[in-house]
Amino acid sequence: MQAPGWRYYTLLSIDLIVVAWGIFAWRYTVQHGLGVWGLTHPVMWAMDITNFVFWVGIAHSGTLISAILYLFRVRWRASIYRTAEAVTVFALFTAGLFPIIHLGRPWVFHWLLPYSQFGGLWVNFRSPLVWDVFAVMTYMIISVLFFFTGLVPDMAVVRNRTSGWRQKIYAFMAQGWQGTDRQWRHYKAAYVFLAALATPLVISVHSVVSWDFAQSVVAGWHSTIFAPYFVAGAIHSGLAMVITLLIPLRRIFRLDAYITQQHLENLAKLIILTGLIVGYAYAVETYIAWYSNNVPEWQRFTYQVTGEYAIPFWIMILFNSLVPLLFFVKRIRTSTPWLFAIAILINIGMWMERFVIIVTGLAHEYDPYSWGVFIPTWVDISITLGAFAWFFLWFLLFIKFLPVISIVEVKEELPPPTRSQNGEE
Amino acid sequence: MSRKVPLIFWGLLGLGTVIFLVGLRMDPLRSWQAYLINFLFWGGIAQGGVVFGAMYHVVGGKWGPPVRRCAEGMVAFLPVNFVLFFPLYYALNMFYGSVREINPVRGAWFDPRFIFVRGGLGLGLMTVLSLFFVYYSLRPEVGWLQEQKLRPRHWLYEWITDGWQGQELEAQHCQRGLDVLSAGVLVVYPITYTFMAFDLIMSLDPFWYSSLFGGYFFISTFYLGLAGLALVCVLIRWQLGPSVVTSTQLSDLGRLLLGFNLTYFAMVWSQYIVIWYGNLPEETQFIILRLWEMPWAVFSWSVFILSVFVPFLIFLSQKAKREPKILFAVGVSVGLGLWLERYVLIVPSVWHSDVIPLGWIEIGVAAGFLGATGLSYLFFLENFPVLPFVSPIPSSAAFEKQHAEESPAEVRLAR
Amino acid sequence: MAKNKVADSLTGLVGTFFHLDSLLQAIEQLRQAGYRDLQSFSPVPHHNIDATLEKPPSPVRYFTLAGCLLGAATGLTLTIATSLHYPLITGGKPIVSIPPFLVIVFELTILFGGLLTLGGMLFNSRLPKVNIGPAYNPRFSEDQFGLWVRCEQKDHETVTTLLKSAGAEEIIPAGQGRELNKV
Repeated sequence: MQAPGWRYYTLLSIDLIVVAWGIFAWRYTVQHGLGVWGLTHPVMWAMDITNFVFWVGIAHSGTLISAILYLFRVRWRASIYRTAEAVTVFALFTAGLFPIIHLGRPWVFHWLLPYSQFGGLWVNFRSPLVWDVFAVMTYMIISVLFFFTGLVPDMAVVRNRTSGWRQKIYAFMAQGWQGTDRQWRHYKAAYVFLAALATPLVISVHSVVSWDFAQSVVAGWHSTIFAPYFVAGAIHSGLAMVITLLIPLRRIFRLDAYITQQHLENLAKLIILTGLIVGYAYAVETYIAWYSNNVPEWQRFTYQVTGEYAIPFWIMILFNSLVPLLFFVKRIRTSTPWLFAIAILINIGMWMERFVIIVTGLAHEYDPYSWGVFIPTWVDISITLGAFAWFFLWFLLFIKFLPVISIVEVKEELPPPTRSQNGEE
Repeated sequence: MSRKVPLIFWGLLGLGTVIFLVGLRMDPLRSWQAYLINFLFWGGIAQGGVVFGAMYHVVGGKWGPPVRRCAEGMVAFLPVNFVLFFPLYYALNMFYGSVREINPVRGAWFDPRFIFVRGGLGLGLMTVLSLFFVYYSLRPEVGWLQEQKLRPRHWLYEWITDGWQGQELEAQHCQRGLDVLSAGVLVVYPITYTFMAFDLIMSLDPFWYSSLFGGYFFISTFYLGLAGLALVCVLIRWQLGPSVVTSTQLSDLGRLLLGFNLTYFAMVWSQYIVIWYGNLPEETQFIILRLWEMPWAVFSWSVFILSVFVPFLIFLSQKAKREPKILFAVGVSVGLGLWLERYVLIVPSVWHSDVIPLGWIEIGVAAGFLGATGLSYLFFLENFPVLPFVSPIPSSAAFEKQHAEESPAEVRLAR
Repeated sequence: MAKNKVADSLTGLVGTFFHLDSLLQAIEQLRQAGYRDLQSFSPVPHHNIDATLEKPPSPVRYFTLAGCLLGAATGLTLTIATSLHYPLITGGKPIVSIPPFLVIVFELTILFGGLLTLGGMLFNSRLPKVNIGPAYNPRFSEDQFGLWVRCEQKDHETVTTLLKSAGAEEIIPAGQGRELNKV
């Protein structure tokens, strides 16, 4: 964690400019109302909620890698899980912006929180939108907890090596860690339980987000497969984002010894799995649209394939389910440029998927009289770009101030030094 | 193994066949639905087991070679299951006749013959893939045994090692075969079982549909396979001793069961909450009939209690997972629960009289299928070793010792 | 804990080890000799250290269970009580509609479970600590193991011999540790 060069500061500056532009666009929205977005009857939810679902989805792979793979005792997770967890936390920070951004009156966002007002009226616990509040808040808190718990031993290492005001901050984060057997024992127990709790939480969070749509009766939204479909899609996009960030990280910090070809290949294999699940979901949705004899459902499907949003639809099918199949070829999944390119395509595809599901669902509901189209405005696009920049801002700060690889866990994977190994010392 | 066991299975098979044939005379609908339930149940255990084996290979697992072999052994029932699919042809008009009348739009797709053909093709494909998968796993084994002359010559061994090229070449060749086939099994299984669920269960109700039903069914079948595997592993441990199937392996199986218990429940819940919330009559009628109306409510809630709640509560305890008796009990509970699950999915759609169809016909047919499954599995066990000889890890106990420094506390607990 | 203060005043000896098996051997020998008040330091956790010290499993699990139960109870009470308090039919759903409430219950179960797990870990490890103990050596987070044997002055020689025989590199009285950050 040495002093960064001019390239870092340039990147940081560009990033800050985009974030500032995004904030400006939002301020413009608050001043002039949601009409400056492309939202109109019938599509009253479009890029705002797309971004929310996209970023919550990205957050999932981090917890998958750190919690789920930990429970399965998968060794190779050790050097990448810190970065993956950081991606989770920052993606949640980004996703958390959108429930506030997409409110018409963001100054009353506190009405989303569970408290009593107007003589005893609480939030509507029956509504999926309130489930969202609980799920995302819980996920954010647990992810941050998990992240910082994992950081504590590493902070002790860093604390010992720095001095001055920096040392005071790291020492605070290390919480007086010494590495005694007692501390390790409780730490290990807590880590296992946090991982065991985080696993069903991950599945539940994106299921709850999917239920924002599935619980309605909008044709094409009301489908029982949404929960596992969205969870698989979330992990799919999250893994792609992790690869997108790991490859430059590895290059810049020269971490090839820690983040090896094998790690990237394993991530690629996981992407094959999630890509297949997403493809399966597309196929089943198509089949059921036909099978159900439900006329609005079927016409919405044909609208997706041939209507105004056909291009995003076909991008979605191609990038999410067909392109990842390339990873079956060993040469492709071991080649860094291919990995990076395909990861970017998957990210684009997954963003498109959320957009297509949401917008086509609303654009073509039951009553042909109210069919309509959504056209994004500069404000929509600025806010979307601003959100990406916000995410990268946090990530840039992370790589500056915190160890990107878990020092302790990587050490743990090495065999301990024993006399029998070294002979006479 | 005592001579009595195969005889018992033969007896059950014979009894089952007789009861089924008698039942056909008395009440064909009831017999055929019992047949369908058991066909899906026992075939599901077998297929779920093999899928576990494929999964174990794909993730490069090393924690339980005998468990893997026990899982692979279940493939023995699959060809039998495939053959048992053919009699269902005669049941199709009974099951689907009304469906096609009510929903002519789906026309040719629901012609019973078409259902039968695509079901048969899917099942056939899965059977073939599963057999080849296990073939590649057994071939190096059997070849080595033949080379070392540890087993007498046998037509089965000859067939398996046809074209044997020596240990080294074969090991590589079979490894590649395993890689391809395990991926094949894992990709084809969800597709096949999704369509089996859609065609053989969901379509029995002319109006209801649920996009997750296919996914729900193949997860449920895999969960069932795991439960069956746990039962078999405990039985083998009781037969061959704790050095063959160790406590750690049982504990890992227990963990997998817990994980898939939760996954199964998530599949049930995802369907329930969406249908409950949307409150669309064409969707809710299916659920209400099974969950809230008597007599089917008793069955549904039994399913939840036996396959979800009881295993979850028991497996919260770390120690419970490694106790063979507890694992066995949980396996039985899950198995029973999932049999009732298939029952409560199928029967209310086709059975329209007041009498609850649960009696000697159902039990008899179940016994018959149990006999067939047991016999197939015994055939496998008699001819193939439970402990892989040729894989890098020769025996569970030695494997444990090798990794002793990693988990001394666990090894101590195992004793 | 008061015991810590007294123990601190007893100080003791800290042995540093380069090798894991030396540390383990030292622990065993000391325990056999009757010195049970041991505390080890290591840069990474290892099962063997815990196994040799024979300490009971961590009570953090009870905190987790308590948290989960508390969360479930809170979720149920919150949703049911508030719905009954201001009964408003929304979306045609019953006033006390259990399926949606179960989602809230689940989330709160996980939240409280997680928070209390962390609390349990901090409480049991007596973190956060403002003053790092007298026996700590920064190298214990890098590549060395340490063993702090709390004993009285008169036992120092016996302990030193035992530690040396197990292969300790250095033995220093606790409290005279290396220069450390004065946090």
